[in-house]
Amino acid sequence: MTDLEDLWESYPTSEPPIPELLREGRRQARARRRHRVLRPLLAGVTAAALAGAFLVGTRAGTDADDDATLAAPDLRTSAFRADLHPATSCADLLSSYRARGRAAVTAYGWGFVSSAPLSARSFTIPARGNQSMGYLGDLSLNTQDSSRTGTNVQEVDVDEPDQVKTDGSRVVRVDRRTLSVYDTSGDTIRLTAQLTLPRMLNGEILLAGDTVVAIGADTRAPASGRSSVPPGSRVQTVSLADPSEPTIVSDVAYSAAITSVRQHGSVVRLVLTAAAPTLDFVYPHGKVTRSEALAHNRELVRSTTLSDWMPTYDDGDGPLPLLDCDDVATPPAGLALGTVSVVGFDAEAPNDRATIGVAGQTSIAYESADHLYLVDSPGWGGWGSCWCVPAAARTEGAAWRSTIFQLDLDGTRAIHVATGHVDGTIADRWSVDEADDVLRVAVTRDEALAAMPGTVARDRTRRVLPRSSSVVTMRADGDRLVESGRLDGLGVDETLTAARWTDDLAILSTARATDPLYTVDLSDPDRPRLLGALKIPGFTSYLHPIGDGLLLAVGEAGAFTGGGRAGAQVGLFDISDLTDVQQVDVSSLRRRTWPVAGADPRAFTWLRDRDTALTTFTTNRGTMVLGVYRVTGTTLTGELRNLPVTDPSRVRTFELADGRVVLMAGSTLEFLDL
Amino acid sequence: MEYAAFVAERWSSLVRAAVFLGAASHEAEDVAQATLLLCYRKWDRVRAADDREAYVYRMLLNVLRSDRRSAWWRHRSRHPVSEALPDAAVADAAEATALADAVHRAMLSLSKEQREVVVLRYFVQLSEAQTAAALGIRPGTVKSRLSRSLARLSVDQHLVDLDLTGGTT
Repeated sequence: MTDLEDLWESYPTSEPPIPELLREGRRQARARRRHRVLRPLLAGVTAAALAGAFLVGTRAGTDADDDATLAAPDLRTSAFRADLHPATSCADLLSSYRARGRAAVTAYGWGFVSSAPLSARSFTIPARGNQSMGYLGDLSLNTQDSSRTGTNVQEVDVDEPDQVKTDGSRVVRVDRRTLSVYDTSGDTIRLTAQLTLPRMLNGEILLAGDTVVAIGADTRAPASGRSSVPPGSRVQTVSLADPSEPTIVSDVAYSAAITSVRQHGSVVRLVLTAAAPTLDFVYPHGKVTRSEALAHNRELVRSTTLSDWMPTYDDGDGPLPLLDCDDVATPPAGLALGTVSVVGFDAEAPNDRATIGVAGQTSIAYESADHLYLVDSPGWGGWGSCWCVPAAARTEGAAWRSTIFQLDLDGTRAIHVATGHVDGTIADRWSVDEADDVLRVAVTRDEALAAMPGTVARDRTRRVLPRSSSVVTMRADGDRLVESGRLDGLGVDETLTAARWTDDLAILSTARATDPLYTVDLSDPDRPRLLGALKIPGFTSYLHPIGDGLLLAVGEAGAFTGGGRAGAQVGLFDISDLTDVQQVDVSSLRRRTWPVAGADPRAFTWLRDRDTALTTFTTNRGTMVLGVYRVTGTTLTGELRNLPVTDPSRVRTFELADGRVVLMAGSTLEFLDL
Repeated sequence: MEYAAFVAERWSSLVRAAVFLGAASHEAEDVAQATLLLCYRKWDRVRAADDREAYVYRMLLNVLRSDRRSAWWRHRSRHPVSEALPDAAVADAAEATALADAVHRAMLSLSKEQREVVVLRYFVQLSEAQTAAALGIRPGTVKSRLSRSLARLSVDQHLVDLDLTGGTT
């Protein structure tokens, strides 16, 4: 060891760069607090934006005046703060599950609404139905690029799983249960190796160096206890260290469904959600009276055990509890029954898991560079949302309130730091965004829906207000996430269809017959301000900033009017003056075509160096087309190419490091001629 | 100011730890800077953490592991602030490169986990508990990993003819 010790002692280091660190630290703190005027924002502040990309998130707590700080984390104790308290014992946890279950169970079981767990639906991320919020990345980056593995993602530095990934030269793809590795160095794309991923369904992958992490549904979900719908997922880690022979190095089954998978560097984080167990409930019929049924169902809940509620993992040695009882917190009132688990691991050490859980269900997970937000939002059957949460399992008063948990990310670990509530529903993860430690959410309040049966809203005499949306900003104040500003009255009686956030700006699209595109100034997070609203026919389901003050909007020409007869369209917007947004060009498809990007942003690729967007559409004949859109100045030129596939989820485009573009269509991969 | 003292006290250990954990000599100071900038941002937490040593080395590991480091570099390379950072840092660049190479070759026989334990516990001389906290593993694991790693290093032939000029071994 002496040699190494000598090396340690003799390794030369410079003087500590204290003044430089202080200057840079203060500059970055200022940049995070900046209240920029809006116009220069779009003109090119790349450096500040990159600093933001690197450092978005946690408070720079150096200046005393800036210190509205979180509770100081203690490295060794609980992963929970704020109003989440870890169970003191397994008995304590079980009695909490039982008590909340008893309060929620009815003579019909968990309620009228099916309690089929989330996992009964397919795993695809995110399970968002037909339509959903579009999203924008960081507009101040000028243009939104794909992730470094070629996927169009929500946060540039936070990668998301997809069927195909590239490291710039090598391409890895999962198709059904086959993992294929391709070499793209030649004139054609060459298959170099294949591997079957056993016991996995609907797999998607992440790529971290030479390691592929595949995530999918488990085909061999163990039928645990009385659960009739075993929700299971499977995570396999494949080493590509020997490119000709990929090998599975880790294979773990989880007994819960995956709601979110994100990758920061080499750290992979899963959010798993388990619904309340499916018990052998009875309901009033024949000679079974209502009270007998209720008594029977309550007795079933009373006799549940922890294994009914708590997820397990199995890395080959049989199922083991995924969570320690004292790593599970009892949530505040209002959360649906179930268990959400946050599992972090390094792609290189997949069996070294950091886990925490909350004894309730959350439906949305959003990950910024520094934080994970778990959101419980009441479903209202709108676009993309589902009735997956038994309405009756919610407690009164909480029916139309969303709960947000903020968790700090530290390597593989997640630590709960604050909790907040907001009235109204949050559609999905695209409605949530964080910048400069301020959380911004787009919420919709719908009093008419709140009065629907099964939702516990009792006050029928109240005047029914039309649906409208708001932008709400929230900050952590100690262990609470509190509202600091709001802008109400967006899209009265209209549906929120797309949202995109930048540091200082929100662009929201709502739709009924026309598509108002709202721009909201967030430069003072405490006072969101409406800048402009542009009404154009149709509606937008996906928004993508392309730099130079331009924005591409993918949507449909006539919304909710022609019984689906309208066609898809791509619009080019000039947003350089946010108070006066203009549609400068539009390219329309024939009638009865629909954009895929609204439901799945991974169907959109912006090729910055070619000023070209690629995105797919489905048609009423069940066919698919690829749209190639070139932007020249303020002109948009569209070209359509037929694709030999029918399944929108099996078409992707991405760029290699050398600038060539790959089209994945069905089972083939080929270079795209542009 | 407290932060300045904090930096002065830890700077050389952080740079060395970065090298020993696998950073190239030209990266090591950037990694240390990125780590200390994170500490600046989260200063209230660093201050309040009941173990600052564990906290700062956890940050260092995070920076090393994370892609954010490259984001930080991209930022630096485009932004004039990089010029504000001292060129003196690379004064004896050649020697640093040779030494770093020697370190990396010597540590080659260790796994990433073993390397982390050896660096934090043996070289930085954190306590067992601090090492465990920084790495998020149990103190018992620190102990067993360390003894295995040290045994490994002591039998490693690379150590016998370590060539500090970076030549052949």
